[in-house]
Formats: sequence, C-alpha cells, structure tokens
Amino acid sequence: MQERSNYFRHFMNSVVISIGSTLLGLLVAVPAAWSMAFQPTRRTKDLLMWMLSTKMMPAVGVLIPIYILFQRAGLLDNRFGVMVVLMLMNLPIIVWMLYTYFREIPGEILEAARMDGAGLWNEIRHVLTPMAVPGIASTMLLNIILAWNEAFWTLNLTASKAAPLTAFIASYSSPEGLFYAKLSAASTMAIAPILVMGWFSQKQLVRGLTFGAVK
Amino acid sequence: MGRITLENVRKAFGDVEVIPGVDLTIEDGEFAVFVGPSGCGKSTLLRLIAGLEDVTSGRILIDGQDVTAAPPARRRLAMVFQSYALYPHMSVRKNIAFPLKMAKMPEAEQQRRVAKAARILNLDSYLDRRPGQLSGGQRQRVAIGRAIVREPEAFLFDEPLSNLDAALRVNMRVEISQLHNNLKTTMVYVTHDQVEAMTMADKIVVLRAGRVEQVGSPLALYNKPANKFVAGFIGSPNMNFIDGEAAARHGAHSIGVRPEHWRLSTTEGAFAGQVGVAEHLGSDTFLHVDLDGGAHVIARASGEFPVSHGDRIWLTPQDDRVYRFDKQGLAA
Repeated sequence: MQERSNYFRHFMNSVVISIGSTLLGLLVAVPAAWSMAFQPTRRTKDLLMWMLSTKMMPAVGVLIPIYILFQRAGLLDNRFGVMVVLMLMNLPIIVWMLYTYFREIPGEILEAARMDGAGLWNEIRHVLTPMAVPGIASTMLLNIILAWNEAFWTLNLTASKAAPLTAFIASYSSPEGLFYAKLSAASTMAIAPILVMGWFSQKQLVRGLTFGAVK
Repeated sequence: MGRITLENVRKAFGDVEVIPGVDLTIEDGEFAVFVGPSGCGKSTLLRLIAGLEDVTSGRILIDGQDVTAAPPARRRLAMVFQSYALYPHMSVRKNIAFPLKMAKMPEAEQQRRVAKAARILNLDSYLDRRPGQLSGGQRQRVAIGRAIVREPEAFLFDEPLSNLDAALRVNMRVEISQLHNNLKTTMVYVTHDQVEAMTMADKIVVLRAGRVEQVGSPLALYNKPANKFVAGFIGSPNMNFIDGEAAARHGAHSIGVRPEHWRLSTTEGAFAGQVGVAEHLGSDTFLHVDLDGGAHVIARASGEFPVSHGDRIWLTPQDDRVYRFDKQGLAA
C-alpha cells in the first residue's frame, strides 16, 4: 500500500489539518464563547441558535460557491484552505461546547480578577482558561476527531498534495473497481490513530459531551 | 486616603430604575455599612463604587478624583465577595499574590506582603493548599488576604459572612472589626443583617428601594430613627408599632415601642394582653403578646421572667422611649 499511495504523507496531512483546524477554531471560539457567556446581549441566544442551525444545512449546498472561492484564492489542494473550511464547519460545535463550559464558571471569580487588576487578556489567560482546561481539552479532542473523520470537504477540495487519510481510503474505490481488501486495510490504518487517541481520552470525552447535562 | 463621594448616582437596568439617585459621602477611615432588605439596591450601589457596574448618571469620586468612568482596577479598591470568589486552580499563596502579580510587583516584595497578610490572618500553615481544601472561614480569610495585600484606598465587602455558620459569623465579624481598627482603612460593607450593621459600623446607611432612608451612627439610628421603616429595621427583635386610639393618646398617628422598652407586670399596666409564645433564651425571654385591642407585640423580659403560654400580662411603654410617627410614617 505504501508503494501505491504514500500513507505517511496522507497521515501527516490528516494530523496537520485536524490539529490546525482545531487550534484555529479555538482561537476564534474562545473569545466568542467568552463574550456570549459573560457579556450576553438580548440577541445572544438567537445567535447561538443561528450558529447551530448552519449545521443543519447540507454541506453540498455551499460546495460550489466555496469551490469557486478557493479556486480564485488558489487554496485548492492546500492544507491551510482545508483547515479553514473544517474550522468554519466545526465552529458552531466548538462555540457551543465552550459556551456551556464558561457558563459554569461563576461570574464573581472573573469580577474578582477584574478588581485585582487583571485586564481582559490576563483575565482570560490566568483565570478563565486554567479553570476551563478540562472543557477546552474535551472540546479539542472532539473537534480533532470530527476533523479527522471529515470526508466531504477533504475529498472535494484536495487532490493529492493536501489530501488526508479520507482521500487515501477513497483512492481505493476507483473506476477500475473496488479493491475490498486494500480498501479495508486502508480504512483500518486511517482510523487506527484516532481510535487509539479516542480510547485513551474516552473519560475526558464523555465528561465533555455530558457536561452541564446534570446539575 | 479613601474618601468616597457619590453625587446623584443613578442606575437603571433597561427601564427598571434600581438606584433613583444617591448622594453620599464616606469619610476616610470610616466603616460604613449599607443595610436594607433584599432587593433594596445595596449590592448594586457597592458594585457601582467598585466599577463592576456602570452608572447611568451621576459621579463617583475617590479622594476628590472622578472615577466614574475608570475600570475597577484603576479605582485602587479591593473587594471581598459573598462567594469568596477565590481562584480554585491556584494555591492560597498564589491567590493572595495575584493582585500583586497583576501590578507587576517584584517577586520579593510579593512574597513579603503575602507573608505579612498570612500572619495577620493566621493563614501561615495553609499557604500551599488549594481553596478546595479549606473550610468556609479559612476561604473567607484568604479572600480578605487577597484584598489587604494591595493596600487599597478602601475595602468593599459584599455580604461576606452570609455563607458562614452562625458561630463562625460572630468570630469573623470581630476579626473584620479588628482588621479595621488596625488598618484604619475605609471599609464599605453590605449586609442585610442589622446585627452586623449595628456591631461593626461607624456609619450605617439604610436603603429602601434604592433610596437612602437615613444615614447615621448605629446609636443615632437606634435612638432617633427618621421614619417607621428605619425604626422597624434597626433593632432586634423589631420595633412594635401600635396605631389608633392608643397612638392618638401620645399625639401621633402611630407609635413605636422597642421590645426592650416595655415595663412588664402581671397585675396592671397600659396595655393588657395574653402571652402567645414565650421564648426563653436563658439571658432574655421574648414574649409574643396578643394585646386586647388585636395588635401583636413582642416584649423582652429577663431570662427568669415567670410567664408562659396563655398567661395574662400588662405592658407599659417607658415614657421617654415612645417613638411617634405621623401619617406619612415620618418621625414626629
């Protein structure tokens, strides 16, 4: 298999894309969730619902506009391009999860930090983030898994250079026929890393997914 | 120096006006207590001084300097919260040093001040513990420690003792009073407990629905309440009010007599009634008496006073201790 298609190149692409899109997502989602949790306006609930509603729309509906945009920007078959798309696709989930976590942090603690002389940045860095570490960790894990398994955008926006493991699997289903044995082997190799990671972090993940469900 | 002046401070949340306009001065070194029933705006007023809420209009001055638009950190005030608001992921040492770290103070000076605060508050042996490993009283001390290391112009306390049990509350009350005597820094303290207000304050500010009803020393408020509300709020148990003919005899629309200002007799007196409940506390006995006219009053008697449920009793107010109020409830 390694001869026919370079597993390690695809593997590295998957690693870079899933971790990159997650970090990029956190960069946007932490301040967004902070403002929604601690400085809510009358429209915050609507905004959260709207964000979630975008996940209900079939992705194929925006495929052509995004494809054209990427083509013009030279982002086709580019790791950064895929990272951005996956980040945008998973952003509602990251914001929702972080929002739920942040809501659990008592506002008085942040006010105490403000009284103690912490500006917004120090408040987020020294108080909010350390307190939300378990939440941020499980959000990261979930997002990495989602990005790792994402097939629609990675198949449509990459060809070879930036293609992750999903494209690697798909390459065994070609017009020449289905190579079941190889397809199965490729699938196993593609899911193995994330399966191992999921196994080791299952406690954290379950806590993340059920957080706030029971008071 | 820590003189705090509020000039016509108003606060509204949307259409709801919580503080309709307060003028108040808290002198340097004074222990001022904001007291009032739930929802009277006392915590909001404290948060306005702290800068945690923006004023709708009016000015807040600290030592003559207008801080109305200044963020909390620039006001040189320290606050102790009801929930302690300690940072759970930091040790006691780091909690106390946090404001110094934010002020970019040299490490050696930080440690010196933390050690000093820990000594004052008896926290030496807990410095490396996390807040989760401390009891309620110890947590409250850490919160106070975090406030004193900054050497602020004034301390703000937002109901700091209401999460503690009764015995600990009395201890902490004394400790805070001692701290004030030692530091001589301005303190503004919010509570709904009038015992805390009476025992700790140099100056009590009684609030109702966002308005200042009366400002004065504890004894001034006790002896010369400006109106029925203050008269009823200050003093424990509450003052008894009697309307109608009995009040008219004293030339007032309504009269007030404190439970401790009745002369009690089992044979004769101005008001006759029947003892409903007699609460024997050992040092005192509180008698809940249903007067013949229908009014219900409380009287304080000595611990040994020999009455019980159903007994007839006569009460006479001490002449110089009858508070008179007009139709509007103002002291007459």
